[in-house]
Amino acid sequence: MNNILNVKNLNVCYGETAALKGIDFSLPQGQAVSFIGESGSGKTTLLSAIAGLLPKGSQISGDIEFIGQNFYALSEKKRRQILGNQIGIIFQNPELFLDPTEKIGKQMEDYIMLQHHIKRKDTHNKIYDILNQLSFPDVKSVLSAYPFELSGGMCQRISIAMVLSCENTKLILADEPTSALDQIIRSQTAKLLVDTQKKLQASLLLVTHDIKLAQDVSDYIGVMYKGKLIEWGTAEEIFISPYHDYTKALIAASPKKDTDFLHFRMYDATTDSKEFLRKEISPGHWVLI
Amino acid sequence: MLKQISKKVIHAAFLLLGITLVSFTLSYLSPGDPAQIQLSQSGMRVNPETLARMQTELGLDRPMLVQYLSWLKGILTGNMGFSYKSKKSVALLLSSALPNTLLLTIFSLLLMIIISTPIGVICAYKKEGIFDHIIRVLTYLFSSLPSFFISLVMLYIFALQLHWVPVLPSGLSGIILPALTMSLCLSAWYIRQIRSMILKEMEKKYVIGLTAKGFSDHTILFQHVLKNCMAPLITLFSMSFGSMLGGSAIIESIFVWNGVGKLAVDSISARDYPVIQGYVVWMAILFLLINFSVEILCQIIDPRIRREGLAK
Amino acid sequence: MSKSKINKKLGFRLGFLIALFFLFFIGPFFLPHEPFETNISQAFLPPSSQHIFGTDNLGRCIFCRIIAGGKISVFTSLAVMTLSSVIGSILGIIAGYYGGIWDKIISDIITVFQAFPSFVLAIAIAGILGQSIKNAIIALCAVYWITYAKLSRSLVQQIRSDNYIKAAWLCGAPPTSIFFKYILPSIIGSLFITVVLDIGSVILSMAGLSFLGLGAVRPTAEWGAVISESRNFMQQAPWIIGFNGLALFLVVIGFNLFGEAMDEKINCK
Repeated sequence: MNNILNVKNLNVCYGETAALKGIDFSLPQGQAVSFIGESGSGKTTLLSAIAGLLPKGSQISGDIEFIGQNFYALSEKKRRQILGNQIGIIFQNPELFLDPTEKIGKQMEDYIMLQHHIKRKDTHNKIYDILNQLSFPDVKSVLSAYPFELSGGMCQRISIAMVLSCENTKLILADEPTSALDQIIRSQTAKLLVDTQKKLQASLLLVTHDIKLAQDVSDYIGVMYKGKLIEWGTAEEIFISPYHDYTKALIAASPKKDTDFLHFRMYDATTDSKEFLRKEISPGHWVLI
Repeated sequence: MLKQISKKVIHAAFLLLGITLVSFTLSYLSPGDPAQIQLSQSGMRVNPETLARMQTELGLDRPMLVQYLSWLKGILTGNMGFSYKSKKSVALLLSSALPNTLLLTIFSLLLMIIISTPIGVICAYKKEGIFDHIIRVLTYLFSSLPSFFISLVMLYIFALQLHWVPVLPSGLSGIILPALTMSLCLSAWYIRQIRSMILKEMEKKYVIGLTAKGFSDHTILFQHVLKNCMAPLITLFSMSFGSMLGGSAIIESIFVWNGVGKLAVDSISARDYPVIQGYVVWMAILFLLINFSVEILCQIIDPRIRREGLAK
Repeated sequence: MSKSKINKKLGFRLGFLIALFFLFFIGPFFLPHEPFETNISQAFLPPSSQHIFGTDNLGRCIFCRIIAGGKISVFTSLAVMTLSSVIGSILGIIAGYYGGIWDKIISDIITVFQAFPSFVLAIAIAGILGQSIKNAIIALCAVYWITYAKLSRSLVQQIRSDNYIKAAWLCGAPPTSIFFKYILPSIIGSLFITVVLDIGSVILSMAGLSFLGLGAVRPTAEWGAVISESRNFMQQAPWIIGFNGLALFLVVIGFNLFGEAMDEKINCK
C-alpha cells in the first residue's frame, strides 16, 4: 500500500521557540490518523506545516512527502494548486474561514469554478447534488445565506461539502473540526467527515483533543506532547493497550502532573535538544523514551 | 430600512438646529458692533443717533432668542443677511462661490483616490519591501508639513520656476495645481490608512480559508480583501471630505481659486461677519449631507450592516 | 523589539525635544542679531556666514526670528493642548462616569461640534473673535476638546464595567476614591499619548491660522505668519519660506516621533 504522506524528521521553529521536533510518521493511502494531545502540544502546527500554511517567519526543516513529492521543494504556485485540489482542509471555526460578505452559494460556486475550470452556470447542478448528498434540509436558503447567519454545525457541513465537491482530493486535513460545535452535532459531523473520506477514497489527518472523536474516526493515532510525537500506533493498539503513561492518562481523561510520569522522560521540544530513542512495542506501535 | 433613514433624518434635523445655534451664538459674541461696522463701511458718520437707528434697522435691539429665530427663519427662506462689505446677499455670494469649491474638492478627492489607492495597496501587498519603506518615509514627511507650505512650494516650483502653470490662472486650468496640492496633502494620511486597513483585513481568518481552497494571492487581494475594505474606505473618504472643506480656505487663498474658502478668508480680513456666519453654516450642512449619504451608501454595500440593521 | 532599544529610541527623541525647548526658550537670550531690528540695506540677503538663514524684506535675520518665533509657535500649541485636553477629558469623564442625563447632554454637544469641519470652525471662531493669539487659542481649543471628550468618555465607560471597579463599589468605596485610585490611572496613559501625538497637528493648525492672519499679530515672528508675509517675496527670497517651513517641520516631527516612541514603550510593557 502506498503512503499518501511520509513525514521525516520534521522540525518547525517560530523564531527562537521550537514548536515541533523530529516528527516522523507515515500515513498509508485511504487511512485516517488522529493526532491527539493537549493544547500547545503542536498538533495544529503539524497540520499547518503539512498544509503549507505556516505563518511567515517560521523555519521549517525536514521532509514532507506528499504522494511521493517533496512538498516544500515545490514552488509556491504548485503548492497553492495542490491546496484545495488534492488537499482539502477543514477548520475549527468554519464561519470565520469563509468570506463574511459573500453568500454561501457564491463562495461554493467560486470554489468549484476554480477547481473544475467550468463556468458559473455549470456549477449549480453539482452544488445541489453535493448538498443533497449531505442531506441539507433547505438547500436554497442555505445557499442564499451569509456565513454569519448559519450555525457552526451548518458551516462545518458546508466546509465538508466543499471538500467533497473536489473529486481529486487525496488528503483531508481537519483541525479540531468538532471542537466548536455543540455536543449533539459532534457525532453527526464526525460521521459526515468519515463518509466524505470514504466517498473520495481519500486519507484523513485529524487533529483533536476530543478522544472520542479520535476513537470513532481513526485507523492510526499519534500522541503529541510539547512538540514531540511520543507514541504512534493503530487505534486498536493505542486505545486497548497504550504504552506510554501520558497516553494512558490522556485516554483516561485524567491528566497527571509531569512528575507523575516517572518511567518516561517527558521531553519538551522548546527546551530539549537531546536525542531521543524509539522503543518498538509491536510492529507499527512505538514509543519515545 | 425606511424607518432607519427617517430616524436619521430627524437626527440630522436636530443637528442642523444645533449647528445654526452655534453659528449664531458665535456671531452674537463677536466683539465688533455690527451697527458700527455697517455705518463705517458705508461711510456714514457714527454718532449715538445714527448708531441707534442702525441698530434698530438691523434688529440688534431685540432679545437674542428673537434675533436667532428671525435669522433661522431667514435661513429657511434662503435669506442669510447681507455682506457688510459688498452689500450683496450672503446667500448669493455663497452660492456663486460654492460650485467652485465643490469642483475643487471633488477633483482633489478623485486625484487623491487615484494616487493613493494603488500606492496603499502595493505597500500592503509588498509589506516591508523597499517601495513600502520609501513611501512610508515620504508620507511621514508630508504629513508633518503644513498645507500652506506645500502649496507655496508647489506654486514656486510649477509656476515660478518651471512656468508650467500661470501664477494667476484663468478658467478651469487653474484647478490643476490647487487640486494636485490638496490631494498630495491628504494622500500622505490616506496611503497609510489604506495600507493598515488592508493589512488588518489580511490578518483575518477567511484569508487563510481562501488560501486553503487554492485561490491565488492575487484573487484573494482583489476579489475579497479590497472588496471587504470598501465600506470602511468610503467612510474614510467622508472624513477626508471634512479636511478638504476646511483646508480649502488656505489652498483657495494661495491659488486664488474663487471658492467659499477664499470668500471666507477675505471676509475675515474685512470683518464681514454675516458672510463668515453663512460660511460656517453652509459648510456644516454640506458636511452633514455628505456623512449622511456615506452612511447610507455603506449600509447598502456591507451586508453585515444591512442585515444587522434589519435585525434591530 | 527589545526593551533597551525602545528605551534608547525614547531617550533620543526626548533629548531632541528638550534641545528644542532650550533652543526656543533660552536661545533668544543668546541671539547674534536682534530679531525685530530692521535694516533695509541688509534686505534679501541669501544665507551666508553672517546670516545663516539669510535676511527678510526688512533686513531682519531670519535665523534669529525663527528662534524668537519658536516660543510662540510651540508655547501656544502647548497651551491649546493643555486646555483642550483638560476641559475635554473632564467633560468626557463626567459623561462616561455618571452616564444618564449628563452623558446625553455632553454627547449631544460633542455631536453638534463634530458636525463642523474642524478647520472651518477654527477659522470662523478666530475670525469672528478677532486677530490675536488668545483668540486663536480659544478657536483651536473649541476644535480639539472633542477628541479628548470622546476618548475619555469611552475609556471610562469601558473601565466602569470592569469587574474590579464593581468589586470596589460593592465594598463600599466612595466614588471619588474609586475615580482617583482606579479610573484615572488607567486612562491617563492613553490620554497622554493622544496629547503628544496631537501636538504636531495643533502646531500646524496654529501656523495655519496665523498664516491666514488670524493668530499672531505683527511683528511677532510666528512661523506661519512670517510665511504668509513672505508670500510676496517668494521669487526674490524663497529661503524665508523655506527655513520657516523647515522649523515647523522639525518641531512637528520631533513631537510625532517622541509620541510614537512613547506609544511603543507603553504598549510593549
